[in-house]
Amino acid sequence: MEFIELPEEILIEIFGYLKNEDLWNILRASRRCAEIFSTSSRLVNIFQLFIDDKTINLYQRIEIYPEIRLKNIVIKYLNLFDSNQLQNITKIIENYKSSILNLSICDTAFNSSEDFNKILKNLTNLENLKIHRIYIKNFDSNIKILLKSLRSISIELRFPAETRNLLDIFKNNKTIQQVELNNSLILSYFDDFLISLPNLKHLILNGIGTVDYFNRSNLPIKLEKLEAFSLGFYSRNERPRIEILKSQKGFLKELKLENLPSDNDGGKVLKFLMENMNLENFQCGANQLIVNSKKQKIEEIEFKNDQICAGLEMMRHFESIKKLKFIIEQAETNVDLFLNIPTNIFDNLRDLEIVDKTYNGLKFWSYIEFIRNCRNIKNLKIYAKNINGNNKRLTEILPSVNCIKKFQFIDDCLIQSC
Amino acid sequence: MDIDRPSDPQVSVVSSDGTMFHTTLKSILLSGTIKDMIEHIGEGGVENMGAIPLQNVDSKTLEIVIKWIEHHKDNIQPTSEEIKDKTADFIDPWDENFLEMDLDKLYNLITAANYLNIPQLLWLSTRKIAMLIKNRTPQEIRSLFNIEDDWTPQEIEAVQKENQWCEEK
Repeated sequence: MEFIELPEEILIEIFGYLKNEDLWNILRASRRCAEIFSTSSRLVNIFQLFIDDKTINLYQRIEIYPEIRLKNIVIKYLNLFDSNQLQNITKIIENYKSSILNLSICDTAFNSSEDFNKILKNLTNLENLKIHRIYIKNFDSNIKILLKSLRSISIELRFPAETRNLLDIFKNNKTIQQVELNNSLILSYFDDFLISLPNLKHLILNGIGTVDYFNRSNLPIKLEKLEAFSLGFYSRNERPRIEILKSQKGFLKELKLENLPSDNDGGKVLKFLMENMNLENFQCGANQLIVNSKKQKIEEIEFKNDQICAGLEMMRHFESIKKLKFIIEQAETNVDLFLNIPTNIFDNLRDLEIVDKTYNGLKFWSYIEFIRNCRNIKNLKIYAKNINGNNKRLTEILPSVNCIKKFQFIDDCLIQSC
Repeated sequence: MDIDRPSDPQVSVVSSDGTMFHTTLKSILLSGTIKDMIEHIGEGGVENMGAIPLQNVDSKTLEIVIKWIEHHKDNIQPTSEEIKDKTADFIDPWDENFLEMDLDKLYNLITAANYLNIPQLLWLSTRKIAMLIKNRTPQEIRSLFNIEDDWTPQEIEAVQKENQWCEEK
């Protein structure tokens, strides 16, 4: 028996273990392999043709393999000021223009809008487009790219002017349902762009650079799904973030936040999200708080710095929480917020870990008071850079703190119950 | 349990070239195909059912399969569904050693594992082939697996022309 005589489903299984470059090599080894690859929608779905400055010359042979169905192409690190490279890429794209569904263009330079358009204009079935850190030297605002099947677009550019130019190209698209913006400063033109998309439902804002988008009282669009790094900071303009949420009430069904709401009104924001928004799905950090409109059972949480208020609100909402880790990296964090709260919210807490990376010795005594409120903890760990020197006093105080009868100092920074 | 009945009765299987092998019920049940057959006749009839004919597996390959199933008979075997999520981070050294065989034997083992529906053995053997493909050029893959370069002369010429253009750059 020969390799090529193995049953088709077995060969597909073998190809499925291969990473992109190895898969590409086996496809080029024989026409039969390429044909088998194309019959498997699973393989076609996972395979990405990755074209960068090092691999571009490997793909010459792709032209004579139009029977390979390519769904995913990633273009990276290319200088398309070079007309030969531009021609080559355009030819590859042209060959697969009807099968390409997902295209990423990253860290690539174009001489003009026209050149950029050459790559995109014939992709009639393109559904997902990612444009990260590209540069167009001569931008022509008259060139618009109409992609009839485009459903989502992800953008990351360094400068506001470039972002505006690029957004202008895709303005008024009727098929876009999802927009993702990464690490970009958001200015008013972003609103203009979003408003121009009649079917937009899903907005994703990644990176701390996008946080300012929420420092306002209203969003210009009604969203069904929102994913954000954070809902912004407490606004000193007396417009609490709850106003923004109110503007989305009844529309927003899914919310995913990378971070708990920060600042003094963070608790109120979280409470509003949990109780008033009627969210079907709500994820905050790693925790799924609501799934299919049902509040989930959360056993452990971690929060830091100015997320204390939201963290305490989590404790109120989820009695199931048994494990809490609190990290302080900013010296100005007001840890006294832990003290003036009903003590029973900590009754189910069994494990407590406090990690203080600042050198503010005064906070340490607030932690001790906080620990007094945690009546049933079994395991305690305090890591603080300023323990050294307080050992004697701690040795006197800690045994009087509820369950912490036995403990040990490890190095100069860590107290651990035992 | 029937006190006279051994806890792991003997079962016989016959290869496509007529060689009979004996193994235990526990071992042979690692094969989904044979398990289905036995479930069909009822486990009580195992002692009376005679040798199971395996038309698609020759004696050399069946001997290898039996060696594997007898070694793994006490291990919990993943289902086909569980295998899909399996990562190749750790392979039992015994299995690594077991799979050290020439390609022809490996191909036959793969088709036998597929026919007999032994997901773990199929996963191990196909993964072994994938590991051999890794980091090889198309030419190296062709010579390792004896694959004919089925490009047409026109296509090869076109590629050479393109490559020449690249080299000139």
